[in-house]
Amino acid sequence: MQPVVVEALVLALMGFSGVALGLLFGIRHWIVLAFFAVAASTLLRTWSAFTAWSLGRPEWALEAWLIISILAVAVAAATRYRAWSTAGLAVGLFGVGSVVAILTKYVLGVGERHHSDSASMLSMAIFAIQGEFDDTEVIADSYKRGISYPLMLALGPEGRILSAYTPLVYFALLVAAGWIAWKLLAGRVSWKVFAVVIGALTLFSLTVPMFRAAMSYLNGHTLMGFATVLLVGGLLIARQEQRFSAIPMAFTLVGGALGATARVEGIVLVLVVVIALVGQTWWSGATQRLQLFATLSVIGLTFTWWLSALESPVLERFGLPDWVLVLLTLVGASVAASKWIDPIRAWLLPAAAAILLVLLARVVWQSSNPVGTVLAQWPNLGLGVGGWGTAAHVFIGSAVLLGIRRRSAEYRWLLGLSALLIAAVLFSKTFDGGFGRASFYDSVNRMWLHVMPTILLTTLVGYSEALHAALGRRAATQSSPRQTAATNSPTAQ
Amino acid sequence: MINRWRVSLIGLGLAVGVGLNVTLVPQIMTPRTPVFNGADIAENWEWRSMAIHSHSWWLWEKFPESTATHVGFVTPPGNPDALRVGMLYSQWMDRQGALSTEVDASLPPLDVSELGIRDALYPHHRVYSRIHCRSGQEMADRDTCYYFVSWSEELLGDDPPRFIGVLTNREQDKEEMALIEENLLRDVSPVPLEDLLSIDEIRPS
Repeated sequence: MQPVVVEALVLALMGFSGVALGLLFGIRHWIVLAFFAVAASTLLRTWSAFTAWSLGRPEWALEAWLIISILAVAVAAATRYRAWSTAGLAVGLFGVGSVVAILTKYVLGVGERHHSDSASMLSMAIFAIQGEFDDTEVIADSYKRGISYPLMLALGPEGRILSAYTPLVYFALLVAAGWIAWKLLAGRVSWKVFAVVIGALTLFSLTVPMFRAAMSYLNGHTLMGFATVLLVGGLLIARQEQRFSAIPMAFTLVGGALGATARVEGIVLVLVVVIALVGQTWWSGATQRLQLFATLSVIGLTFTWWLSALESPVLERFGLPDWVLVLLTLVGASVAASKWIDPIRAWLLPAAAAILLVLLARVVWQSSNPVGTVLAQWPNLGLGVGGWGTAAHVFIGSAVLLGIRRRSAEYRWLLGLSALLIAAVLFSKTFDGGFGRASFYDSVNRMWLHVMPTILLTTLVGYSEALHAALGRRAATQSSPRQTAATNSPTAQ
Repeated sequence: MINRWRVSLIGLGLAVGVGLNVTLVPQIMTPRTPVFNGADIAENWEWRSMAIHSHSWWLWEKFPESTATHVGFVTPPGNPDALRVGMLYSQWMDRQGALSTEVDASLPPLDVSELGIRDALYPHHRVYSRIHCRSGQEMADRDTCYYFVSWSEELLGDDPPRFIGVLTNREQDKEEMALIEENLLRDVSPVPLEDLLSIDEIRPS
């Protein structure tokens, strides 16, 4: 069978099963279902491989994925058949994205940047995972680069990777950021204003080398960025609705579980957003608390499952048996969902931010070259060595010009979360030592991709609000950003 | 009015940003043009071979039944107090037995850097890359060397080829090692291969 046909069939099953899982979560918006399907199908593949490895049968990993995917489609077809038109549109949009992704590889020949990490990723995907090695030790030893991404690459034709997956994740990420921004703007700006902002940011992004490279870069960073933007979107939509409805819950659960397995340091970023979610003060009712408990448990248990199924050296490094991690996850999720911590919820995020800053300050203080440590990323972000062009300058300049006082609570939360995630990226690097070095291939420089979609989301919301205000238009359905900010600000909760 | 100024400045900033990204940024950081394009990347042995840690994979793709000797990173024979020398050719794929190539990493590469044969070997090269190595005692820290693989189609026999690791240049910052097919090396070398010393080897007189 032609490789392109195999890829198309795999993507088709991903689309159907991912949309099915979205329907089972209760999502009823076709655009959301389409981009959510990329994340959900990746998680299905991850869980099915963990199942095979846990049973000591790595050779069953592919069959387990096929069965669980078909099962998801069958259950959704039997129980959610009334949503067939929405599902059809979603599968159609997923199909369009898949066709474009395949075209970039098989027709346009868009290539990948040569990098030794990418070669390691290829060898793990093709040899160890697709080759169904009995001894999973080599996969366990490559924990640093995550597991979800090589698992997806291994779904390619025999001896090859699933090449269209990487651009597909990138497209899903862009659609997700756009949809979440539009949702957070909640009718406060016209679609024309939003379209102008999208156009301006697209033009700018196309000129930034790293943004172009991310579309085809063979590593888990783009997937991690996608997971992060789902998590952030889930948090802010829940906050906007003041309840943990289907979309926020699905985004948090799938984004969190994916983030915990896309890169090993991803768990730090996931924790930051989870703390922000738990820190919301509107949690009430047994159902919502149960949903929060279940969501946090699934995220934590997925991370533990990865380490446990492969007997990862990470457990040895931190001296944590897997049962302790399971216990910590369940106890932590119970406490997070309980009434006991309601009085201190509002303090959780500020406390976590303060601890993060103290830990970073400690790294700088204990460094032999504190100034050099602080400025480690300056060449990458400030002088263009890292391939970010003027992206950092434009983001910081925009944040200063947009200000905070006149912006909506959504923008302020996004700005704060972006800053916290940047701090989390630097903190996660400290396990390897320092804050990185001047190079396009420096791991911190590549890890900025984890935060890039959140920054894109922040900028989309901020620019749209500012342009709307500059044109002097009245809000279509809601109060002005300033009024919204006043009523939704963290202090007004 | 303030909002209009704000948006105008942001628009100006974006325009300047785009201008700099198009003009100045490529002069600072030009992304390497992808050497090999498209969906065939995963089976493109040349692309794989360009990455450190993938050299044995590449050789297996090209010559599945070949043998590679003198590709170790070990203490030089007869020189037990010396630092380990050689190339880090083997990796997890060899240990797993997934590759049908035979890898003998018990000896370091042969030192041909003083024989003046590098220019005769290089024109036959198929790969040019880097590999983790130590080219001699003067290289205190393990680093990377340039690396290539050479063979001559005319000299290949019916049997699976045997490749021999060699050191072709030990000059500082130009350290270079290679895998040379045995028949080509015999053809080019002015001395019998059996008389060649490996890196920093001391033979009992």
